Amino acid sequence: MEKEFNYKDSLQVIEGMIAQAKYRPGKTDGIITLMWGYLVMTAALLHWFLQVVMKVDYAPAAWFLMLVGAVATGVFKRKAEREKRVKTYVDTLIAQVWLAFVISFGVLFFAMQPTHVNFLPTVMLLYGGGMWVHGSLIKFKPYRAGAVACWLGSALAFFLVPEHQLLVLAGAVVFGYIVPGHLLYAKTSQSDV
Amino acid sequence: MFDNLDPLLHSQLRLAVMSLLIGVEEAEFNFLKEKTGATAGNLSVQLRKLADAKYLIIEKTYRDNYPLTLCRITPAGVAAFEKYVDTLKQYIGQD
Repeated sequence: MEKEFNYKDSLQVIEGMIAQAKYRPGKTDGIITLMWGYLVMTAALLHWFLQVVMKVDYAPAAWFLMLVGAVATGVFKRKAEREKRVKTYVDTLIAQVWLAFVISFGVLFFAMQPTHVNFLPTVMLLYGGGMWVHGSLIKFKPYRAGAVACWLGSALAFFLVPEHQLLVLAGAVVFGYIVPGHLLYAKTSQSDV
Repeated sequence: MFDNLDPLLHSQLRLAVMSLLIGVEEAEFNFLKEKTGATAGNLSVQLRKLADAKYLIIEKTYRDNYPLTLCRITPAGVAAFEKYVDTLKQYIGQD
Protein backbone atom coordinates (compact mmCIF):
# COMPACT_ATOMS: atom_id res chain seq x y z
CA MET A 1 0.00 0.00 0.00
CA GLU A 2 3.06 2.24 0.36
CA LYS A 3 3.41 3.91 -3.03
CA GLU A 4 3.78 7.36 -4.46
CA PHE A 5 0.45 8.96 -4.96
CA ASN A 6 -0.76 12.38 -5.99
CA TYR A 7 -3.23 14.75 -4.37
CA LYS A 8 -6.16 13.26 -6.32
CA ASP A 9 -5.36 9.88 -4.81
CA SER A 10 -5.16 11.58 -1.41
CA LEU A 11 -8.63 13.00 -1.85
CA GLN A 12 -10.00 9.61 -2.84
CA VAL A 13 -8.46 7.98 0.21
CA ILE A 14 -9.81 10.66 2.55
CA GLU A 15 -13.32 10.54 1.09
CA GLY A 16 -13.42 6.75 1.00
CA MET A 17 -12.18 6.25 4.54
CA ILE A 18 -14.38 8.94 6.08
CA ALA A 19 -17.38 7.27 4.44
CA GLN A 20 -16.26 3.90 5.83
CA ALA A 21 -16.06 5.25 9.37
CA LYS A 22 -19.42 7.03 9.24
CA TYR A 23 -21.95 6.02 11.89
CA ARG A 24 -24.46 3.45 10.71
CA PRO A 25 -27.15 2.04 12.96
CA GLY A 26 -26.86 -1.71 13.40
CA LYS A 27 -29.52 -4.40 13.69
CA THR A 28 -29.10 -4.31 17.46
CA ASP A 29 -30.34 -0.70 17.64
CA GLY A 30 -33.68 -1.71 16.11
CA ILE A 31 -33.88 -4.82 18.29
CA ILE A 32 -33.34 -2.83 21.49
CA THR A 33 -36.02 -0.27 20.56
CA LEU A 34 -38.65 -2.83 19.67
CA MET A 35 -37.78 -4.98 22.67
CA TRP A 36 -38.42 -2.01 25.00
CA GLY A 37 -41.61 -1.28 23.08
CA TYR A 38 -42.95 -4.80 23.59
CA LEU A 39 -41.83 -4.89 27.22
CA VAL A 40 -43.42 -1.54 28.13
CA MET A 41 -46.61 -2.42 26.24
CA THR A 42 -46.83 -5.83 27.98
CA ALA A 43 -46.11 -4.34 31.42
CA ALA A 44 -48.66 -1.55 30.93
CA LEU A 45 -51.39 -3.94 29.77
CA LEU A 46 -50.56 -6.46 32.51
CA HIS A 47 -50.66 -3.70 35.12
CA TRP A 48 -54.01 -2.55 33.79
CA PHE A 49 -55.38 -6.13 33.70
CA LEU A 50 -54.22 -6.95 37.24
CA GLN A 51 -55.52 -3.67 38.63
CA VAL A 52 -58.79 -3.18 36.76
CA VAL A 53 -59.90 -6.75 36.00
CA MET A 54 -58.27 -8.84 38.72
CA LYS A 55 -58.27 -6.03 41.30
CA VAL A 56 -55.12 -7.24 43.04
CA ASP A 57 -52.76 -5.13 45.16
CA TYR A 58 -49.58 -6.31 43.47
CA ALA A 59 -50.59 -5.01 40.00
CA PRO A 60 -47.55 -2.60 39.77
CA ALA A 61 -45.30 -5.68 40.03
CA ALA A 62 -45.87 -5.99 36.26
CA TRP A 63 -43.14 -3.35 35.89
CA PHE A 64 -40.50 -5.81 37.09
CA LEU A 65 -40.45 -6.75 33.40
CA MET A 66 -38.29 -3.67 32.94
CA LEU A 67 -35.45 -5.50 34.67
CA VAL A 68 -35.48 -7.99 31.79
CA GLY A 69 -35.09 -5.07 29.40
CA ALA A 70 -32.20 -3.58 31.36
CA VAL A 71 -30.27 -6.86 31.40
CA ALA A 72 -31.04 -7.63 27.73
CA THR A 73 -29.99 -4.11 26.68
CA GLY A 74 -26.64 -4.60 28.41
CA VAL A 75 -26.11 -7.93 26.64
CA PHE A 76 -27.12 -6.57 23.21
CA LYS A 77 -24.96 -3.47 23.59
CA ARG A 78 -21.92 -5.50 24.57
CA LYS A 79 -22.41 -7.77 21.56
CA ALA A 80 -22.85 -4.80 19.22
CA GLU A 81 -19.69 -3.10 20.51
CA ARG A 82 -17.68 -6.22 19.80
CA GLU A 83 -19.03 -6.46 16.27
CA LYS A 84 -18.59 -2.79 15.37
CA ARG A 85 -15.00 -2.46 16.63
CA VAL A 86 -15.26 1.30 16.36
CA LYS A 87 -16.79 3.95 18.57
CA THR A 88 -18.21 7.00 16.84
CA TYR A 89 -19.24 10.29 18.41
CA VAL A 90 -22.85 9.44 17.51
CA ASP A 91 -22.58 6.21 19.56
CA THR A 92 -21.41 8.24 22.54
CA LEU A 93 -24.11 10.88 22.15
CA ILE A 94 -26.87 8.25 21.89
CA ALA A 95 -25.57 6.57 25.05
CA GLN A 96 -25.53 9.95 26.83
CA VAL A 97 -29.10 10.73 25.74
CA TRP A 98 -30.41 7.49 27.22
CA LEU A 99 -28.27 7.87 30.32
CA ALA A 100 -29.88 11.28 30.79
CA PHE A 101 -33.29 9.58 30.42
CA VAL A 102 -32.43 6.95 33.03
CA ILE A 103 -31.19 9.59 35.50
CA SER A 104 -34.28 11.76 34.92
CA PHE A 105 -36.48 8.69 35.35
CA GLY A 106 -34.67 7.84 38.59
CA VAL A 107 -35.19 11.34 39.99
CA LEU A 108 -38.86 11.20 38.99
CA PHE A 109 -39.27 7.73 40.50
CA PHE A 110 -38.00 8.78 43.91
CA ALA A 111 -39.18 12.39 44.00
CA MET A 112 -42.64 12.03 42.45
CA GLN A 113 -43.37 8.35 43.19
CA PRO A 114 -44.97 6.09 40.54
CA THR A 115 -48.34 6.35 42.29
CA HIS A 116 -48.57 10.07 41.44
CA VAL A 117 -51.24 10.86 38.85
CA ASN A 118 -48.71 12.71 36.66
CA PHE A 119 -45.99 10.04 36.82
CA LEU A 120 -46.77 8.11 33.60
CA PRO A 121 -47.46 11.20 31.46
CA THR A 122 -44.14 12.70 32.59
CA VAL A 123 -42.29 9.47 31.80
CA MET A 124 -43.86 9.52 28.33
CA LEU A 125 -42.61 13.08 27.87
CA LEU A 126 -39.08 11.94 28.73
CA TYR A 127 -39.40 8.89 26.44
CA GLY A 128 -40.45 11.19 23.63
CA GLY A 129 -37.49 13.48 24.22
CA GLY A 130 -35.06 10.56 24.10
CA MET A 131 -36.57 9.22 20.90
CA TRP A 132 -36.55 12.63 19.21
CA VAL A 133 -32.85 13.25 19.88
CA HIS A 134 -31.94 9.63 19.05
CA GLY A 135 -33.84 9.87 15.75
CA SER A 136 -32.17 13.19 14.93
CA LEU A 137 -28.71 11.83 15.64
CA ILE A 138 -29.14 8.79 13.40
CA LYS A 139 -31.24 10.75 10.85
CA PHE A 140 -34.12 8.27 11.05
CA LYS A 141 -37.54 9.91 10.70
CA PRO A 142 -39.66 7.04 12.13
CA TYR A 143 -37.92 7.58 15.50
CA ARG A 144 -38.91 11.22 15.46
CA ALA A 145 -42.45 10.28 14.46
CA GLY A 146 -42.38 7.85 17.38
CA ALA A 147 -41.33 10.71 19.65
CA VAL A 148 -44.37 12.70 18.50
CA ALA A 149 -46.58 9.68 19.32
CA CYS A 150 -45.10 9.60 22.84
CA TRP A 151 -45.66 13.33 23.31
CA LEU A 152 -49.26 13.11 22.06
CA GLY A 153 -49.85 10.16 24.40
CA SER A 154 -48.36 12.19 27.23
CA ALA A 155 -50.54 15.22 26.49
CA LEU A 156 -53.64 13.02 26.49
CA ALA A 157 -52.60 11.07 29.59
CA PHE A 158 -52.29 14.22 31.72
CA PHE A 159 -56.09 14.49 31.54
CA LEU A 160 -56.83 10.86 32.41
CA VAL A 161 -56.96 8.70 35.52
CA PRO A 162 -53.95 6.37 36.04
CA GLU A 163 -55.85 3.24 34.87
CA HIS A 164 -56.59 4.83 31.51
CA GLN A 165 -53.08 6.27 31.32
CA LEU A 166 -51.79 2.69 31.21
CA LEU A 167 -53.81 2.01 28.04
CA VAL A 168 -52.59 5.25 26.45
CA LEU A 169 -49.01 4.30 27.31
CA ALA A 170 -49.46 0.88 25.71
CA GLY A 171 -50.80 2.53 22.56
CA ALA A 172 -48.10 5.21 22.51
CA VAL A 173 -45.28 2.67 22.61
CA VAL A 174 -46.77 0.79 19.65
CA PHE A 175 -46.27 3.89 17.49
CA GLY A 176 -43.41 5.30 19.51
CA TYR A 177 -41.19 2.25 19.87
CA ILE A 178 -42.48 -0.93 18.27
CA VAL A 179 -43.18 0.36 14.74
CA PRO A 180 -39.98 2.49 14.52
CA GLY A 181 -37.98 -0.40 15.98
CA HIS A 182 -39.29 -2.82 13.34
CA LEU A 183 -38.61 -0.25 10.60
CA LEU A 184 -35.02 0.29 11.74
CA TYR A 185 -34.49 -3.46 12.06
CA ALA A 186 -35.81 -3.98 8.51
CA LYS A 187 -33.61 -1.19 7.17
CA THR A 188 -30.44 -2.45 8.84
CA SER A 189 -31.20 -6.05 7.82
CA GLN A 190 -31.45 -4.99 4.17
CA SER A 191 -28.15 -3.11 4.25
CA ASP A 192 -26.66 -5.96 6.35
CA VAL A 193 -24.86 -3.54 8.66
CA MET B 1 3.39 29.12 -3.80
CA PHE B 2 2.16 25.83 -2.40
CA ASP B 3 2.91 24.47 1.02
CA ASN B 4 4.52 21.09 1.15
CA LEU B 5 2.28 18.21 2.04
CA ASP B 6 3.15 16.65 5.40
CA PRO B 7 5.29 13.64 4.35
CA LEU B 8 4.04 11.66 7.30
CA LEU B 9 0.46 11.95 6.08
CA HIS B 10 1.26 11.83 2.37
CA SER B 11 1.34 8.06 2.37
CA GLN B 12 -1.66 6.03 1.34
CA LEU B 13 -1.91 3.82 4.39
CA ARG B 14 -1.11 6.47 7.00
CA LEU B 15 -3.54 8.89 5.37
CA ALA B 16 -6.20 6.15 5.30
CA VAL B 17 -5.72 5.49 9.01
CA MET B 18 -5.92 9.19 9.87
CA SER B 19 -9.02 9.62 7.69
CA LEU B 20 -10.70 6.73 9.48
CA LEU B 21 -9.80 8.06 12.91
CA ILE B 22 -10.67 11.71 12.24
CA GLY B 23 -14.43 11.04 12.44
CA VAL B 24 -14.52 8.54 15.30
CA GLU B 25 -13.65 8.51 18.97
CA GLU B 26 -11.60 5.36 18.80
CA ALA B 27 -11.16 2.31 16.60
CA GLU B 28 -9.80 -1.17 17.14
CA PHE B 29 -6.71 -2.32 15.29
CA ASN B 30 -8.75 -4.95 13.45
CA PHE B 31 -11.22 -2.32 12.26
CA LEU B 32 -8.37 -0.29 10.74
CA LYS B 33 -6.87 -3.44 9.24
CA GLU B 34 -10.17 -4.45 7.64
CA LYS B 35 -11.00 -1.00 6.26
CA THR B 36 -7.53 -0.26 4.87
CA GLY B 37 -6.88 -3.77 3.59
CA ALA B 38 -3.35 -3.59 5.00
CA THR B 39 -1.43 -6.47 6.51
CA ALA B 40 -1.13 -6.53 10.29
CA GLY B 41 2.64 -6.04 10.12
CA ASN B 42 2.55 -3.06 7.79
CA LEU B 43 -0.30 -1.45 9.70
CA SER B 44 1.58 -1.85 13.00
CA VAL B 45 4.65 -0.14 11.54
CA GLN B 46 2.64 2.78 10.14
CA LEU B 47 0.63 3.19 13.35
CA ARG B 48 3.87 3.34 15.30
CA LYS B 49 5.17 6.12 13.02
CA LEU B 50 1.99 8.13 13.56
CA ALA B 51 2.13 7.51 17.31
CA ASP B 52 5.79 8.60 17.44
CA ALA B 53 4.75 11.87 15.78
CA LYS B 54 2.03 12.18 18.48
CA TYR B 55 -0.66 12.11 15.80
CA LEU B 56 -2.43 9.24 17.49
CA ILE B 57 -2.50 7.29 20.72
CA ILE B 58 -2.23 3.52 20.73
CA GLU B 59 -3.74 1.88 23.77
CA LYS B 60 -3.06 -1.76 24.48
CA THR B 61 -5.68 -3.34 26.69
CA TYR B 62 -7.68 -6.55 27.16
CA ARG B 63 -11.27 -7.55 26.51
CA ASP B 64 -12.49 -10.89 27.78
CA ASN B 65 -8.85 -11.90 28.33
CA TYR B 66 -7.94 -11.21 24.70
CA PRO B 67 -5.48 -8.46 23.75
CA LEU B 68 -7.16 -5.42 22.29
CA THR B 69 -5.43 -2.51 20.55
CA LEU B 70 -7.32 0.78 20.40
CA CYS B 71 -6.28 3.81 18.38
CA ARG B 72 -7.45 7.35 18.77
CA ILE B 73 -6.41 10.57 17.08
CA THR B 74 -4.83 13.34 19.18
CA PRO B 75 -5.42 17.12 18.89
CA ALA B 76 -1.99 17.33 17.20
CA GLY B 77 -3.15 14.67 14.74
CA VAL B 78 -6.37 16.58 14.03
CA ALA B 79 -4.37 19.78 13.43
CA ALA B 80 -1.93 17.97 11.11
CA PHE B 81 -4.79 16.37 9.19
CA GLU B 82 -6.58 19.70 8.79
CA LYS B 83 -3.37 21.35 7.59
CA TYR B 84 -2.86 18.50 5.13
CA VAL B 85 -6.40 18.99 3.76
CA ASP B 86 -5.88 22.77 3.51
CA THR B 87 -2.68 22.22 1.54
CA LEU B 88 -4.50 19.75 -0.66
CA LYS B 89 -7.11 22.42 -1.41
CA GLN B 90 -4.34 24.69 -2.76
CA TYR B 91 -3.39 22.00 -5.25
CA ILE B 92 -7.02 21.45 -6.23
CA GLY B 93 -7.47 25.18 -6.74
CA GLN B 94 -4.61 25.12 -9.23
CA ASP B 95 -6.49 22.75 -11.58
